[in-house]
Amino acid sequence: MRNLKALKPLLQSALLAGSALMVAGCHNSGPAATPEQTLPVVEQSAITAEILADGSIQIPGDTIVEHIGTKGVFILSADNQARFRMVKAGKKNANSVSISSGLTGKEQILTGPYASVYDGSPVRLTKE
Amino acid sequence: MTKNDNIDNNLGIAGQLAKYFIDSRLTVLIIIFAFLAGITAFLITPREENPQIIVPAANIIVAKPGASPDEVEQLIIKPLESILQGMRGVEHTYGIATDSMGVVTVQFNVGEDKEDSLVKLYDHIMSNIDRIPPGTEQPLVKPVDVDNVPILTISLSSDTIEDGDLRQVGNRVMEVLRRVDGTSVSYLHGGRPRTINVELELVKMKSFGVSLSQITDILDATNVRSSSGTLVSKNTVKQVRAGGMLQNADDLGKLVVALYQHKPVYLSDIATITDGPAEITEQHRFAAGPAFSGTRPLNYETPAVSIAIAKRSGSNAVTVAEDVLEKLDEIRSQIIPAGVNVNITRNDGARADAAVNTLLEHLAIAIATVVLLLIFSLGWRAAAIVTMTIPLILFITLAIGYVADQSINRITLFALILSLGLLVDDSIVVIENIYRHYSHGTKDRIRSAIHAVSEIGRPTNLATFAVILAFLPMFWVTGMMGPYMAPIPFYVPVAMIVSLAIAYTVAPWAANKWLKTSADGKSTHEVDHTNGVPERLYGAIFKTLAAKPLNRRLFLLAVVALLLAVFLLPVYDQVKFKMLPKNNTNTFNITIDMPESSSLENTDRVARLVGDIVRGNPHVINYETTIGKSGVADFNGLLRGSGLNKGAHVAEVRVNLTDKLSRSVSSIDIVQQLRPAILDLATTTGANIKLVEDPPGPPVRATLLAELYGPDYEQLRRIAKEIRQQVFDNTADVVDVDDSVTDDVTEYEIHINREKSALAGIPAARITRALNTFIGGFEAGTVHIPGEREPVAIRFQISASNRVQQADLENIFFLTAQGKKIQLSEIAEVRERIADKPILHKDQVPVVYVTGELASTSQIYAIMKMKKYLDTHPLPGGIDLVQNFVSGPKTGEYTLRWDGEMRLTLDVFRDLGAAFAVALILIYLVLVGYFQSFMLPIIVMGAIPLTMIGVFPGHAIMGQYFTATSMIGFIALAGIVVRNSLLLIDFIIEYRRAGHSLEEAVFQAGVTRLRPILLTAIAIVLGTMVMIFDPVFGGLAVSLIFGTVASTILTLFVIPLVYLGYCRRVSPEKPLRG
Repeated sequence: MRNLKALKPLLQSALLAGSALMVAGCHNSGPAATPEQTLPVVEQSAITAEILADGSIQIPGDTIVEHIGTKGVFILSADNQARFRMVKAGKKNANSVSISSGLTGKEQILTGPYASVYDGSPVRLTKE
Repeated sequence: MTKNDNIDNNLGIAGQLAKYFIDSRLTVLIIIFAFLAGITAFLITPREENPQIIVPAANIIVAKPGASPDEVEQLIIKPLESILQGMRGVEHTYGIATDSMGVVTVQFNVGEDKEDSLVKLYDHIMSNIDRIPPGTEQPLVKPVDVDNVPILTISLSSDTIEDGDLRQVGNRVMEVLRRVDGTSVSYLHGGRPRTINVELELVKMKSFGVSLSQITDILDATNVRSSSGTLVSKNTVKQVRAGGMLQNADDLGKLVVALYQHKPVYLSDIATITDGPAEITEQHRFAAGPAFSGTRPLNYETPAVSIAIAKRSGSNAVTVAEDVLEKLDEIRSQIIPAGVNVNITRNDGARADAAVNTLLEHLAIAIATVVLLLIFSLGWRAAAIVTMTIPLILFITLAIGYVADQSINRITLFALILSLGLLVDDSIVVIENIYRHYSHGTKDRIRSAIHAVSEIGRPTNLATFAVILAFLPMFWVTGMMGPYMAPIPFYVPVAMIVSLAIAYTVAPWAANKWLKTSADGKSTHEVDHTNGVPERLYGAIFKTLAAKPLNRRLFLLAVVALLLAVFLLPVYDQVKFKMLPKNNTNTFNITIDMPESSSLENTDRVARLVGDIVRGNPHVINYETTIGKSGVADFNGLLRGSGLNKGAHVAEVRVNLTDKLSRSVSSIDIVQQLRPAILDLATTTGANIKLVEDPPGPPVRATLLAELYGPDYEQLRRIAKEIRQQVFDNTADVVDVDDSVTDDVTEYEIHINREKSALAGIPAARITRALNTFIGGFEAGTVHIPGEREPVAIRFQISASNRVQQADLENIFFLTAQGKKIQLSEIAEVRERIADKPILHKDQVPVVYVTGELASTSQIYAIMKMKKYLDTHPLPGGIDLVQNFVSGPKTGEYTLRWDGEMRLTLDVFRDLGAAFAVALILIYLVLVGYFQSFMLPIIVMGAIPLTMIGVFPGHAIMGQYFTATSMIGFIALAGIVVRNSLLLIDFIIEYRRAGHSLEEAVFQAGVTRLRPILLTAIAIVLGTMVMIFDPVFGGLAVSLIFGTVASTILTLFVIPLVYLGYCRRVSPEKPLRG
């Protein structure tokens, strides 16, 4: 068994080199990748949801956006990016909406305007 | 066959063929025709990546509203299964009983005719339709059709246009694309269809005093239109139509639903009516990865619509895909608005083409190396002749394949590469022998060539036949592996027969024309064979071994000892077994299974996190996320049954990687790299996330599949949890562990008090119907919008904000005949409870599954480990668990059956073993017929075990698993070595008949055959070397290369020595063939 082990790398490399030579030249690389999107930095402010006594999560109605047809909010990610989060809205009050699903209540939610905010935009937080 | 004057009367088939074709004008025509036919076949034969496996299957869906899983199991699943089990050709039935619905999946035997099976199935169900219990809906039979798996998906995505509008664009595009010839089913994936949404506001309804059942009544009464008859006047007939159709959302809003304080209440007063995409229940998204090369979307993930197009069975995926894409380019600027990104996310046509082209390159490389070898050893004239025959043989083989309705796929090309080493052999033998005759000096070249062909005709026929016999039994491999490997037993024998025919016709013709020898009869390019270095070396060793009986015995003993030692390698795990290793592919799937109670938003959050991880890998071109259901069906998913997955807790991500040829990391490693991050995510979110790689061979439900059977289903669920946590989770390399037991889901049961509801004059049925339709949503017909390509449904539902919690149910009320409001809570009680869980059946027996995949190693060892663990560690509660692999469950006992890839592996190795045994018997029979001896064939076949001396150490050295393809290589080797030793023995007999002594004959035969045998061996080694990189067929290459080397060297010594010993004992002087 020990002899075999010693032979192993030798034979392996010989065979692989042989076949590598044969297969070389078949390799063609695909089209070059377009560079990553660099979105402009947006300056937004953020709020956190209000959690009521019954556990329901309340956020201001105008933080819910319709982003390419999907209802949700933009939250601030750990690496300071605006990230889209799908939410389901429950009851509407005067100026807040209860969120029945999609948020835990701990997220930092970006406030408007959202015209130049995309899923993935880098965010510089402004104090309100 | 000896040299005598009346050879013409003594010619075998080979000689006759050679005699006819050697100077025939026909030969040239045959060559031209073969080239043309071959090139045509090569261009028009449909290409696929893998051979198509036909497994007819269907889902029979039976709904029984309101029935519990238990009820569904007893009343629907069990009777249905027993009906189906009675059908011929059914392999398995899988039943699942869920709330209000039962689904039985019937899987027919592999290879059963699709149409026949489905017709039989319909017939069987229809003839038993009277047995349906009352209250059950008509059964729905949905065939699971492999032909309907899309070969092409075109993704439309946009940063600005929402998915509802994208769907409209997709519809227009699809309408044009599906006119392309060769396409079959096409559909749109993703994008919410346009609907008129009527969101009922419970509070407003209450204040206007409109109850849910009132709305149902109104709906039933509106939106009907029928042709009422005709009016005839002035000799013409005019149609009369009655009823008003709802044309748009405004029409709907103007419906009067009730009177309140003598004023009409319009639908728009109590509901929000919108015309647009429906409430989101599923979404499909597109995202670009780091290696993406098109226009990048601004958002990480954008809503998308995929156009999925399948091809008609039998048409060429490559050309269909090309035609469709050409059409797409044509219409792109006209139909697709700016701002819509178009990406091809699946193109099986291009994939098949790439796979085939890569292997064609490999085949070309293999041919080139073999040709180089021939030039070195035969000289360029002889080499040129043999080289010419190679494409000729391959072309004719492909043409025969086309006529026999075969496609060109990976397995086809592996079969051709495999046969390459073998098919040059026939021509080499013929050319060598003609050459030998020519170099002895001859006046009549034609006669001499015919004589030369005839001389080697019989043994060559037989040797070729032996190779064919070794492969043929592979046709009878059962299960999905059968059709998957079928091209090998088809193409190798065909190539062998063609090569034989070419060797007897074209080769002598070409030899007669071009083969030159110098005037003195000496060869122009090489010295006499018998004095070459290899011959001298061989001679010296052989003489030493043959000199004393003791030497001979010691040598043979050593070989036997070596053979036994080699079998220790698998015992000590130096060679590991596996069915098929994973393949390096360009795509893989990630399935996300949230706890059943997860909302769509929660699932979406996890899916986006998975997307973030995927996007971090530099080899990702793009990925598509689908939430709320599984992605566009693929072959693997179809057979795994993942297409049925639907619901807010399901999501799937399909990842496309850069082309495997342009990246240095295999998809297997990429998946491995992603695993830790995915596992982290899974534990923090409570999701079950699986990385599903395309299997190299036929798909299975899961690689590791433990089927649990037993008398108490509840107990089985507990055992499953136990086994999952104690065994699967703790075994190394086992990943993606899951079980079929669903999580606890809270449900509200609205329990209607019949007495109270009867007293209030509201029938219980009316309450249930109203609740069902409005909480779950209810489609009340369609509006009629001119030019709309899809039906636009009117969908009624209580608005999302009004169905959040239990308290919201309090707002529902009903009206009595007297117009009095009755709250739901007055006549019904809302109870909270755990929902009933689904019950699964396999082949009529209740079953619970625990599943798992393996990250990198073979499942055999994981299963052995787990089996051992379960054998030594009793289950809690003192339950005895019987484990087995093949036999079915016993009543009253708790049984665990290891299914999945394990079963497939056992079946495949069993079938291949059986095929091999049959091959051995057939070869033996033919050899007995040829040698007219019982013992000689055994000596000839004694070379077969010698291959093992190369095969096992070869796998150990290369670190390769011994796979199903290794086994195929082993079977192929049997054919090859029998061929060698057969020709060897045949030569010995010829020499003995020519008057040489036994020792001299044995020695001379060895020396004469040395070169051709070595040449064949080197040709096989060089030819198959290109395969060694292939993850799937690497095993075959290792088997062939190492097996050929070991057996060739050993055969040259062992066979003559054994023959020598045998002859000395039996009949010292008499040649053995009469």
